[in-house]
Amino acid sequence: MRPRSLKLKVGVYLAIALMAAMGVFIALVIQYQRAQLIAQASEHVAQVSQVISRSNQAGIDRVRIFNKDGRIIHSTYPPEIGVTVDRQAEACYHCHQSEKPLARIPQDKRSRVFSSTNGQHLLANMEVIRNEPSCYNAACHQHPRAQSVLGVLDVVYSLDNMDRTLRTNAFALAALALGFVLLASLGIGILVHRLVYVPLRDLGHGARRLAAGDLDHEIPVRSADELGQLSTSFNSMTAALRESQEERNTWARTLEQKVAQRTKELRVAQAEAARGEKLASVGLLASGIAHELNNPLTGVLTFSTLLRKKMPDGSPDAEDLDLVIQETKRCAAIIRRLLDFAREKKPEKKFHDINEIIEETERLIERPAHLRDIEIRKELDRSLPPVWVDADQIKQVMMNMMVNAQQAIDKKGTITVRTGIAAEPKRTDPGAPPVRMVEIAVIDTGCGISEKNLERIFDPFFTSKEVGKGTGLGLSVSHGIVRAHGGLIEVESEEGEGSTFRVFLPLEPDAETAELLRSGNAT
Amino acid sequence: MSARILIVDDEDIVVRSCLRILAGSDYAVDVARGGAEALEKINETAYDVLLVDIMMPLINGLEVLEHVKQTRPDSEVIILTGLSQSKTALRARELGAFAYLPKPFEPEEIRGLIAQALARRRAAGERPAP
Repeated sequence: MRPRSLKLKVGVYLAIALMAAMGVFIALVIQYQRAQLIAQASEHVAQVSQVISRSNQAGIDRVRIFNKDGRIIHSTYPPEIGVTVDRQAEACYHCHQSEKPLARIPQDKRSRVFSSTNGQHLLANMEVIRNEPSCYNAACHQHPRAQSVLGVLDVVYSLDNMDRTLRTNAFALAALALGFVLLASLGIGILVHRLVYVPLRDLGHGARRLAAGDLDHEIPVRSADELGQLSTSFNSMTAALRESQEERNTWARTLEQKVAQRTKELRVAQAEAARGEKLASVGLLASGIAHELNNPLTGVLTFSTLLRKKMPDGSPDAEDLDLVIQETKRCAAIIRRLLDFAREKKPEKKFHDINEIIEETERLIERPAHLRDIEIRKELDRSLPPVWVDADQIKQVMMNMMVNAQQAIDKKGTITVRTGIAAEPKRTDPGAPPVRMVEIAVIDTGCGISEKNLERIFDPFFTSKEVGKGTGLGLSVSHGIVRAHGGLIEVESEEGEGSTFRVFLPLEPDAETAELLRSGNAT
Repeated sequence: MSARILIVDDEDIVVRSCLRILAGSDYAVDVARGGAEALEKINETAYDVLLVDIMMPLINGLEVLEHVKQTRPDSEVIILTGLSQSKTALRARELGAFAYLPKPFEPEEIRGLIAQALARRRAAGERPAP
């Protein structure tokens, strides 16, 4: 398993790298020193042999023998034979400081390192020559038995070779150490580059792009260590930022839509209010006009009727008077409708089957429609529950819708009447809670309504029909009735394609009525 | 003796129309051009049938009707109105009006209603007085 923590990773890899480098280093040094030591040993053996065979050879500077009085009795350097050395000299001091030679001198006191006057680096070793039986028993009788020390053997070595070797070794070691350091540095450098620098560079790059607003950039995750985790966290943060930004954007968009929706609702409400005011003033005006006009119409109708009686049927005068009578009656009818409109008749509601109301209305216009080659299609939802309405008023609304639809169709066409429960609850006023509604759609394939006229079709006295064909009150009255039922009328139209009027009526009676119905006080 | 009719209306054209419609009949027709004049005439004369307009200044048709029914309960009153409203129609019926006729009306409607009113009055007259 690969190490997961950076600390551990650097530690482990560095240890492996150093151990490898050290291993190589130590192996090299050992090998080198072994070679050196072998060389030295061989040289040493050679020197020892050479001391015996030839006393004046390379490496050995001098070999001298002193007698007990300090006189040089033999030397490889002949000029010093017979010279007596100063016992107080440093080399002699250890033994002779008490004016009497010691029987035993420790080894470390017997050898000495010094430089000769000509700059040679030398190592000297003294060996005491003791009196032995072979000496005092020899035939020569040179040494008496009582004498313990016969003299001193002093061998002086040159250290130049050793110095050279040491210098060479030092250079070799320095070169090896340098190589080792370079190798280790290179290894560490590569590791740091791969483990630390590259992920940090990625992070820095990612941070700069994020700062510049690029929320889509993803930092490559190269490992599972701390830096890898940091990259992952950074990516999560970027994703969270992106999400929140998207959320904010969505929110801003929906806010715009909501504002537009509310503005539309407000405009509708304002139009409603304006329409209401207009209706009220129209009501007053209608009452006044009705009264003022009906009196003169009474005169016109009376005298034209009486005059007509005097005319023989079929005469031109009789025909003229018939026209006067007919038109006077039409005036009276218009005034009556005006009054109907002005009269705020409160709906007298009961539970009624909407489909039945529609079928009754349809029967009234079926024949004239058929004569004009207009097909009436009924798509009625038979599962609709009874609705709390004034049947006469709703019949008036349906009649108005169907007559309008018929009049919109020039020659041949179709009127579809569809009932059902509205797909979604509707609110009648901007602030009101949405209410479940029954939807009655009257769809015609007629001439349609221009966009300009669509806004005004519910206004009193607005008509697009020819003079004499409509009072411009039908839709206005229908609108008033539907509003009085707590419902609403919607219209959509495409010029030349046809129009769709949708009447929405509350599926259930309002809370107050529902309460009354429950307590059994309402019929 | 011919039946006595009183026309009560402040509108000249309506009065003239009624007079013209009833011309040629054998009714004795009288006219009052306002509520006050009508009350005076009602106090003086017992009319068989009264044609009364509702909307008149000062004393309106319903008040005239009320007065007639109080002073001459036998007289029949036909209410004429230029502003047909179910509320006033209902009130007129309650006060004992014989009929409620919206303007404009046709000559035959007036003639027919007067004939019916007179017929009812005769029927009532034939009954033994209470």
